[in-house]
Amino acid sequence: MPSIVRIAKHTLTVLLAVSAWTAVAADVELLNVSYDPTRELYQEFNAAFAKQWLTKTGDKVTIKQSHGGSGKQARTVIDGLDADVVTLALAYDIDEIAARGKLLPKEWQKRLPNNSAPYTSTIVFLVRKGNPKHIKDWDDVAKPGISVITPNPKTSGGARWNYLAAWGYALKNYGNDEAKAKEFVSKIYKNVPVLDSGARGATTTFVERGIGDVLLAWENEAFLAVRELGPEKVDIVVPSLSILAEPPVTLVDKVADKHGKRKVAQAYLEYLYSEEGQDIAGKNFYRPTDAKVAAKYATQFPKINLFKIDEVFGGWQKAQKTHFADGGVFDQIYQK
Amino acid sequence: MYPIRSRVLAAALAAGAVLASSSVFADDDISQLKEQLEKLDQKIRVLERQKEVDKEAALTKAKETPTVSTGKDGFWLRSPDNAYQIRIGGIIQLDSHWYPDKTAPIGGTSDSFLLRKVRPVLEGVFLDNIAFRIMSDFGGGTTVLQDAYVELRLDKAFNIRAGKFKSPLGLERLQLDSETEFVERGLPTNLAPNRDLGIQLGGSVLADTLSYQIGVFNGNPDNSTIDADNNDQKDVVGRIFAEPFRNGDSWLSGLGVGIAYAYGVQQGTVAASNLATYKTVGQQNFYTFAAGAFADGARTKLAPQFYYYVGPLGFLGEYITSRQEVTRATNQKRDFDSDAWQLNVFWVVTGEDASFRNPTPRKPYAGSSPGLGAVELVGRYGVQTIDDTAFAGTAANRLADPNASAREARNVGLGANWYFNRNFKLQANYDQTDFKGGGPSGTDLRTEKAIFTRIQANF
Repeated sequence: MPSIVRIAKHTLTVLLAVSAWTAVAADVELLNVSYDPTRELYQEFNAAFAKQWLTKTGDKVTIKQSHGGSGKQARTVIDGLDADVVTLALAYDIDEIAARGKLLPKEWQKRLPNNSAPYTSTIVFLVRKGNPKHIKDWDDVAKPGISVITPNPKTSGGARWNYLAAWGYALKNYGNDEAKAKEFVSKIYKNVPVLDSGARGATTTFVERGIGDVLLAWENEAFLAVRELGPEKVDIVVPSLSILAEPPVTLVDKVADKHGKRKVAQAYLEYLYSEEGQDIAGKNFYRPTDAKVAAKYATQFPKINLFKIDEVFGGWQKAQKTHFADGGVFDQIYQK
Repeated sequence: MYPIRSRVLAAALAAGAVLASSSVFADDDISQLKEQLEKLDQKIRVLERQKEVDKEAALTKAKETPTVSTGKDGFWLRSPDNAYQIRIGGIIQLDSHWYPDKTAPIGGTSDSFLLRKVRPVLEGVFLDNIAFRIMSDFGGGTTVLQDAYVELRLDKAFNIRAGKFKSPLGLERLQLDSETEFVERGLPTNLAPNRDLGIQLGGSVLADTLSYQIGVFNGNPDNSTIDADNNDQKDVVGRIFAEPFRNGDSWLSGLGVGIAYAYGVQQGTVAASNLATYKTVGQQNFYTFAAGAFADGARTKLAPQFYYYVGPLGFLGEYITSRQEVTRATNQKRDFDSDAWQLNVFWVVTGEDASFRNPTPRKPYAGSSPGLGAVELVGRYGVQTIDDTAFAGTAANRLADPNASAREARNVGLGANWYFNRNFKLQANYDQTDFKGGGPSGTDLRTEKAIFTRIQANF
C-alpha cells in the first residue's frame, strides 16, 4: 500500500519534471507598444537587443511591435492589449495607463534616467523642394492660403507636440498673451485640410498623397522622409523656436509580471541607454541623450532653440487638461 | 487610382492646352489658370485623403465594437479585443435502448426511449485568463449540476481550476460527452471517478507535447457524481499524457500515451457505504456490494492509457486497476480489487481523419446543399474483473453475494456513427456482455444483448 510520503514524493517528482521542462523552453516574446514613427528605430533596435540577449543569456527573445497614434495606443493598452513595454510619444499617455489601467506605478517616470526618455526629438517643418511658399517660421505656417498637414492631437502624440510648439512660439512672440496665442494657433488649424490619426499617416498625406505646403513633423520623421524620397523632393525647415520632445519608455509591470518577463523587458529598456542603443537612436534621427553618442551625431541635427513643456505649460497633466481634454482649447479652435 | 481627379484634371489640362496654344490669352491668364488647377487638384486630393482617413476611423471603430457570432461552436459574445468572451452552447441526446433477450437475471430490461443528456452550457473568459464553465443536465428527468468551475489561466503550462469537473483519471471518461464513439462508455469507466469537487493544477509544456493535471478532490465513489462529501479525507489525482510527435507530420503524430494515478482514503458507514455499484455497458448492475459493506480506508487507482490516430483509423485503450479497503459487519477490513481494460477501434469509412474528437466531415450536411457527412464504424472489447476476495467468507461477512454479482464481465461492441456535420450525429451500437458468475447456484449471469441508438445535437 503506498504511503502518503510516497505519493507526495511521486507528486513532487512530476511537478519538478514539468518545471524543468518548462524552464528549458526559454524562447521569450515581448510586445513593445509604441507610437507611429518609431517603426524603423525599433526594427533595428530589436534585432540588436535580441542578439545581445542571446549572447548574454542563451535565451532567444522575439520582440513584436505595435504602432499607431500615441494616445490611441495608450487606450489600447488600457483596454487590455498585453504590452510588456510601452515606448510612447509623451509622458501623459503613460500616465493614463498608470492611472486608468493601473498597470504600472504612478512614479514610473523616475525609474529610468532622463525622466525615462532615452532619446529626444523636436518638431520641424517639411516643405516641398525649393520651399515654394517661402515657409521659414511659425508665422508663415499661420498665414492664410498655406495648407498645413498635422495629425489629430486627440489621437497623436506628435500632433500634441506640434500644437504646443506653435503655442509656445506664439506666447514668446506675443508677450505671453494667451488670447493672442490661441488666435495664432487657430489660424494654423484653419489651414489644416485633413487630420490624420497619427504622425505616419500625416507623412503619408504630405509625401505620398501630395497634399499640403508644409508638414509639421517629428524631426526624425522629417529626416527619414528626406532619406527615403531624396533631397530633390522635400526640404527641412527649422523654425526659430521649437519644443524639446521627450518620448518616454517604461515597463508595463502587471503585464510583464503576469508573463514572467520582467527581467528581459527591463533589460530591453535599459539597453536603449547603452552605447549601442543610443547609436541606433542616432542613426534613426533621434537625438541621443548619452553625451558621448550625442557628440558623434552633433553635426546631423540642426541647432534649434528649444523649450521644455514644463517651462511653458507646467507639465503634461496641465497641458492635456487645458488644451486636449474634451471641451479644451483645441476643441474650441478646431470646429470642422 | 484616382478616377475623379484623373477625369477632372484631364479635362482641365486639355482645356489649358487649347488656351495655352491661343495667343489670345496673356501669360497672366495662364498663370491664373494654372493656380486654379493646382487648387482644384489639392481639393480633390484632400477629399480623397479624407475618405481614406474616414475609412480608417470606421475600421478602428469597428474594432472597438463587441461582436456577436453564431456557428458550429455555439453562440458567442466577444469584446473587440477578445479579452471578454461568453459562449452559450448545449447538447441534447435522445437515446433508445433495446434488449432482445429479457430473461433475468441481467438479460435485459425494458425497451425505452430516454433523454440521456440535456445539457445547456454557459462558458466564457474574462480578462483573457479567467475562464468559467457552467453545465447542468436535465436528462433522465433529473437535474444535476455537471460542471461548475473557474479556471485561472496563468500560463499555458500553469492553470488552476477550482469547482466541479471531471477528475483526471479515465481516458474515455475525459473524452467530451458529445464526442464519444460509443453511445455508452466501456467497462473501465466503472473504475474511473466521474465529476468531482476540488482544485486542480494543469497545463501543457514542450510545445503542447506533454500535458499534466494534478488535483485534490472530495473523492466520490467510482463512476458517480456527488456534490457533498461525507468524510474528511480527500483524494489526490494526477495524470500525465504525452503526444511526443504531435507537431510533426509523421505517422506517429496521432500517438498519445499517458498514465494516471489516484490515492485517497474513503471512509463510509453502513448507511452511506461510499462504494460503487458496477454497471454493464447496457447500464444494468452486475456487481453490487452486500448490504453493510462500506469503504474503510485507502483507495488507489492506476490507469495507463493511450490513443493512436492515423488517417481514418483510430485506437483507444486503457487499463484501470483499483484497490479499496472495505469492511463488512464484524469482518476485518480487506482489500477489494477490481481491474478493467478495453481496446476500441475506429474507422472513418468516408476517409476523414479519426481523432479524439468527432471527425469533421469533408462534405457536411448543410441545409440546401446537403453532403453525406462522415460515416464511422467502431468496435470494442473490454473486460472488468472482480477479485475473488470479494466473494470469500460467509453470507454474513463476504463483500458480495456470488449468486447475485458477477466476478467478470466481458463486453464486445460494434457500432456505426453518422456525422452529418459538427453539430448533428446519429449513433447505433450493438453491445453484448458475457459474465462469469453472478447467477443462481453458481451459474453465470445471462448474457446481456443491447441495441442502442442516439440522435445527438450539440452546438
